[in-house]
Amino acid sequence: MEDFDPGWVAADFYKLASTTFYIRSAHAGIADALGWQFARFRLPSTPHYAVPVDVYAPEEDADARDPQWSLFVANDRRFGSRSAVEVLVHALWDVYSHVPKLTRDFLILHAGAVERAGGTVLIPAASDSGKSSLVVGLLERGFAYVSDELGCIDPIGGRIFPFARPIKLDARGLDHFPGLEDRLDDRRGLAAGLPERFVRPEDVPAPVGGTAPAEMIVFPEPNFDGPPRLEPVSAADAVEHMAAAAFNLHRYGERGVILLSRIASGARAFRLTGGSSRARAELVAEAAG
Amino acid sequence: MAGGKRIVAKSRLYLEGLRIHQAFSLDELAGRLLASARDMITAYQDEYVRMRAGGIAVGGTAVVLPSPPEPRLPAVVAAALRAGASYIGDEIVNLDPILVRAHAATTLPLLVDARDLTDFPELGRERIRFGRDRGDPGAVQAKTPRRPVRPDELGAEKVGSAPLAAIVFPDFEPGAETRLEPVSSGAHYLFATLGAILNMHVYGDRSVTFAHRLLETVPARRLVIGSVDAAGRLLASWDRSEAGVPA
Repeated sequence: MEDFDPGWVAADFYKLASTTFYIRSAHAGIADALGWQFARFRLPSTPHYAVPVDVYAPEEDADARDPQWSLFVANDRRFGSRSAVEVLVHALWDVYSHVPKLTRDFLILHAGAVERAGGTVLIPAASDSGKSSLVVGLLERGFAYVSDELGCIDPIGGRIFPFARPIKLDARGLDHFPGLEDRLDDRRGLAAGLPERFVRPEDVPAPVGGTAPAEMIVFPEPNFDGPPRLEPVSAADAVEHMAAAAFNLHRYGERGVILLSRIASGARAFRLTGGSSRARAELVAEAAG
Repeated sequence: MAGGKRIVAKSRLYLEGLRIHQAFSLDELAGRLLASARDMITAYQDEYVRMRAGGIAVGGTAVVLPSPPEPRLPAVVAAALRAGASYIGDEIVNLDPILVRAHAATTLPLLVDARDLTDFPELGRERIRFGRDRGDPGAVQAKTPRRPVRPDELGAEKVGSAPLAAIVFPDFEPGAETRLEPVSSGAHYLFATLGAILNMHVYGDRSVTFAHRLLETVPARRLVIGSVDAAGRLLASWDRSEAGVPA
């Protein structure tokens, strides 16, 4: 690629958790959408190393009327399509999925998290369990936003660190929050073609939280029948559930389990079932005190 | 060659297409290759706090020697191994902040400065053929030839990890009495500890928290090194029950 200029229209560094990316795009719409998505993570200065992420039409296709756009991550071609929206979808997924793979200085759970008064409510859960909707509901009730996807546990202090990416909700999730859609800014340009909606904390509105120890751990389950219920979970069960939700426990091994045990022993843990997103949020907020 | 002349040629070491070293001694090239391999292996071990430090185990617990770039550090570790300690690391040690243990960063041998091999005649290694000026300390590590030395050549075993019992800051003062001293100035040794953290760019402010907690909970000493051999024997006789006063 030495003599070929893809025609970059954007090139920026971003730091997501501890992983730094150098994201370049030759497609203006994709550049704009990626820039909006990762705005909170933009780095003002050049780091000593970054994972390269490139979006461009290869040389042989560059002059075509309808070129095929290719996504490269770490110089590996990951996806190609004439649909810029499809490339954007894959770029977002690839960048976000690289974070738990490459970040080693945090034990990372598949978890949402919110914070209030120096205590974090950690919400480890699988997809479609209502985790992100619960996060938005708690933001509405005065909590600060920490994450909707990655619970970053610091092995030095055991505190939960923010990973404040835009909260991803599907249309059904958004319906639980009347009026919120009018405040969203995510349908800009190419991003209007994305299947999900993205809620920034300031759209709710809510601040971004700081680092804090976990005071409460809530495991939402995809059972929404009946009223919302919080059932206490033992510390041992909480460790087991958190371990199951961990992306990189294999890097920590036994010490990771010990870290989770310390988290669990310092927090109240519950299983959350039943109820709508807002009803669940109300119950959790009340239990958090 | 004709007439019985011998030509000794330098060998070159290339890494990823770049020439990184050349030398007459293949042993020296091996040392340089292992040093590069060690850097590559350890570069991303960020699930630990990675320190520029020697590490030994005595009586089942670890003594870690944080240091600025110092080519003589592996020789001190080697001397401790010869005196009965077990091997964790010669220049890089991984510290687990969860259980406060010292972990070996690699399974590679020690990389001892060629000039220090004179302190280890039992190894039977060739003397370096040309004098090398130590020069600017900042450039020393890049220029200094290293020779691989396996722990078993010194009669020592390797230890994967051990609970951290003490932090010892080495201070080379040739000719001085080799001795252990209490750590007096907290700020000075906090900065010394921070300066030895190799992945501080990853941990950021958390490095300060970690270094602070380490110095508050783990006994710390200053080791004045007048003689490498005496320093090794002093370290190998570490007595944890005396909080670091040699038995």
